[in-house]
Amino acid sequence: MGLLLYRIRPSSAKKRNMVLLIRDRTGRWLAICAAAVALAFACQIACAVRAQVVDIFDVNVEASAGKDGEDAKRPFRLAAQSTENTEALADFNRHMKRGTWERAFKSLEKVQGSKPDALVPRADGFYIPSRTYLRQLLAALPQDGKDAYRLFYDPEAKKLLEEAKGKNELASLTKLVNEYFITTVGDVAADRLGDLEFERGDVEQAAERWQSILQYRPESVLKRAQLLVKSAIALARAGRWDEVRRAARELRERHAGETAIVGGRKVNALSYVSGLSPADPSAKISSGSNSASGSAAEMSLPASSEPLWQFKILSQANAQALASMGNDWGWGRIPAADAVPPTAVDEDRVYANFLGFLFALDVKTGKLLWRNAKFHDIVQQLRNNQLLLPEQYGLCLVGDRLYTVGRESGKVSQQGAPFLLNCHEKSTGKQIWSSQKISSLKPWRMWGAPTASGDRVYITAIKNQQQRDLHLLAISAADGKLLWATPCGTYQVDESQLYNQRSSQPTLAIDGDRLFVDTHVGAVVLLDAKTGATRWGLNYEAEAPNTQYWYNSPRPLLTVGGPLVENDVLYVKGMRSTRLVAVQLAGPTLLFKRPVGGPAMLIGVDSDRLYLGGDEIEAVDLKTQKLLWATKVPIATPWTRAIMTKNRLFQFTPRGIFEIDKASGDVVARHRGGDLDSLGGVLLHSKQTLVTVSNLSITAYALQGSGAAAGGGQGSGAEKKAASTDTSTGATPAGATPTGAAGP
Amino acid sequence: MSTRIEASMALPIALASVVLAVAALALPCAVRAAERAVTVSAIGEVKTRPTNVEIAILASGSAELSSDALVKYRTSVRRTLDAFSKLKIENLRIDQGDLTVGGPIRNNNNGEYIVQTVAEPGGEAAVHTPVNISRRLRLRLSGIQTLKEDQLIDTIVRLVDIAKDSGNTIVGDGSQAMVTFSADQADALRDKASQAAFAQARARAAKYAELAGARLGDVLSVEEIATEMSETSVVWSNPYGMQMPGGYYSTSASGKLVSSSLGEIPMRVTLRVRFAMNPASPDEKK
Repeated sequence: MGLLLYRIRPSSAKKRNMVLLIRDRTGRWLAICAAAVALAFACQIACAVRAQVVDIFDVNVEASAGKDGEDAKRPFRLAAQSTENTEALADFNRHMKRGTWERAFKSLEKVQGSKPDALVPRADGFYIPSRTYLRQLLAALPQDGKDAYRLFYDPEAKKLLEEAKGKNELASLTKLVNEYFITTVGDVAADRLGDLEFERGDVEQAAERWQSILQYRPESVLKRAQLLVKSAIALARAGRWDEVRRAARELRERHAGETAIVGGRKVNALSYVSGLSPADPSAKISSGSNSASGSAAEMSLPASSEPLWQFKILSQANAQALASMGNDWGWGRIPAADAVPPTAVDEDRVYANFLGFLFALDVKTGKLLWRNAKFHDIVQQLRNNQLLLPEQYGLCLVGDRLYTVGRESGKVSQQGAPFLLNCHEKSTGKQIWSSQKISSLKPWRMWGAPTASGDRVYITAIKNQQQRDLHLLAISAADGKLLWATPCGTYQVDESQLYNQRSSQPTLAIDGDRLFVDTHVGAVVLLDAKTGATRWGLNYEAEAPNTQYWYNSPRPLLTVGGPLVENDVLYVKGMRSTRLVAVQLAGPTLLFKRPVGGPAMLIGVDSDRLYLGGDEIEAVDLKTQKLLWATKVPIATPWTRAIMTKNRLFQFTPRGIFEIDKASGDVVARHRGGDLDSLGGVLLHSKQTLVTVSNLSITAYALQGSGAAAGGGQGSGAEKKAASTDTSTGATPAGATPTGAAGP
Repeated sequence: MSTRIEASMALPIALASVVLAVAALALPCAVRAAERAVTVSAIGEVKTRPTNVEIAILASGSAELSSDALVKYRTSVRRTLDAFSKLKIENLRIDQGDLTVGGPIRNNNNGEYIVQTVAEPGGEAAVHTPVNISRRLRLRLSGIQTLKEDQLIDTIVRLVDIAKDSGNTIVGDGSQAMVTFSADQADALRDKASQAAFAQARARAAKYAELAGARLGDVLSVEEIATEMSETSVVWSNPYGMQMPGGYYSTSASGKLVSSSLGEIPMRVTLRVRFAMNPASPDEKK
């Protein structure tokens, strides 16, 4: 403005006056500018402390725009909130910094009125539901902000508390806690709501209520020891033992000797909570068939290389035909040639899902017990379909049920045929239900490995015509009906069109009522296993699949493992990521993120170390995140899955099974076995039998000390001969070969 | 001034004229001398049994974090050396090559694994480019001529197994072959082959001279010609680290013969020798 004023060149007699006027005006302008600058500076200083307090919740439009720009490049975008909400939060931030609280809270009302599950990006990279975000945002307000909030909203909150009686009790308390948690009665309401939910059996939700008081209302008059005991009981009911132990630790450190009321009795809080934890809590994580194994019982490798039995999935000729099929198309080796079928084992049988052909073998004899169709001409069928997507087949064994994912039998050759979820009786293979025949599941194409817990089956899926949008489905195990579907986010690339490399297969892990989804393309999401509500999401660095394919261009080694949960920490290593991510679930907060090799996959985690597999077996110290050791192992297929025991790691390689000492990383033994033509693959452990599953065969070995009829190994002539499949009775199953021919 | 110059130039001009005149007179003599020479080529071949088996392994550690790469590299080398030492094979020696620190290991499509030592272009990709620390380990089993073939094969298979189980890459020692066989004292063999070639050349030249009615004179020149020995993939590694024609490589190791197959390794030397032919004496003419 000043410059513009100086450009005025009056030529008349008014010139002098004008100049004076200009000077006068200029002086005024300068004064105004100086005052504005001083005011802004003062405001900056005044707000500096507040800004520090709420730094984690800092949202501004410019930053959001930047993040949106980044998000557009991400291979997977989480289901985030609308731009309106982002702007409303930015408004809140601005008003809060100025201390104009009424305007600030007014702008929050917009967010409160929106979809509660819409995710809001937090400054630390987590995406959390707007409702949780608001609670955390308000809890982090400076004291004058909290006072202002209470001034505005206490009357409404107190009114709701008075109304919380009889039929209205749950609804009123829920509204109060969700919308007015930081009012003076918010903590009392949350405590009462927790009691109600606990009585209704919603232990996870109840625990969250009590924990929110502990976390966000430190000034509450409610006794902390009592709240810790209550939440510990709820967490124990949910099987979240890591958090129970953490509650006990807090009681020991801060509230030793304090009492709490449990069931009308006064008890020592610490003793009570300490008594809740089992002596040796077993691993609770259940995972899909394609994730890494957790800790198994200690075992020693078979003494003999001679298998108990071997079932050839593919004949040598078919295996060669499959391997060269891609060459015929000019692609090089296709993923299906390296694929190891999803399998599971129990004490009686081995179950397999070979490109939709299901079969079960007797674990003792290798005898084929049932199958859903013949597959002797499988390679001929595969020739007609270049979009085989072998990684999208899945299998999950829970109780007496077998949940499988695959294309409809006979449609393996049909390009674009949807992937279905089927439920079978494990003893007979009889189909109990199929997603194809259930109206609520018909629009869905299954996309990932299933996992089951209680009366539910969980699986990720995409919709017909919306193949980039990933959802998590909860399905009734009894009848296959859809219980809920929660959007997880959107793929940048339509992965159902990837033919030259492995598409991303989301994997799941359940810990109590917490359900983790690793998309394997740069995002992990935590959902409530009961309601499907999203608790948070987190992006991590990953590459989008390269859709530009050159003839015979090398394929990256893409392994899939995890996610894993131990000591209330989530570990994630996506298949297209070179980062190992650890998330402290309480919070959540990012514990660490460290570079690892691209082909690395999660094997398992114990109290102080995390183990990675792939082309190198590695141990990472959880405290320092330092690499302790790395052992190279031969690898020929990315479809590998190791076994972790208390002291050992076992990996099935194309050169046999490697036994690795967890402490030093030294290879303590190698078992060549009887499947050395294969590329290696998956290890399964069943009581006294070790089962290897490769791209060619399923092979069983008697473990040492099992007393099973192990074969006469090299140099062990006194040992019994292999108990091959029952050839004498003519009951040799199709594809099974006597073991004698299979040894090295 | 000009007179003085002319006077001073007179002497050199005169000398040059004399030289030219002498040269002109000598030329016919030289032509006549060239006519009295014979040039022959001859190949001398000496065969020998290999005395060593050699396997080259690339022990490496690669990671985005240099400290990780170092842990991987150290454990890789230690485990590889431990594994071979546990075999307790006599005459097995492991030579450690030079340490290389660089980018990712790539196959140069010529059977060789090379470490990319040139830094990647800048930006985020450069930050995430793995650091690779590697060292070539050369296994050398000597004295194999004393082993029976079965024994030798057993030993080789054990070495290859250990190398493969170590997860390291068998890189070949500059060739596509996983295992190479070499013979020591190649310099001496070369001398022998040269002698044989020369003797052969002389004998042949003497015959030509006789046919020409002349007598074989002194050696005027000797030229060694590179010999292709593709049928056995033999590699001559000279002590000077020189690249030999024919696409073969050479190393700085002192002369050795290398073959990708177990069998006699030929050493060939081809010479082109030029002998003078002197007039035969009357007696010889008779």
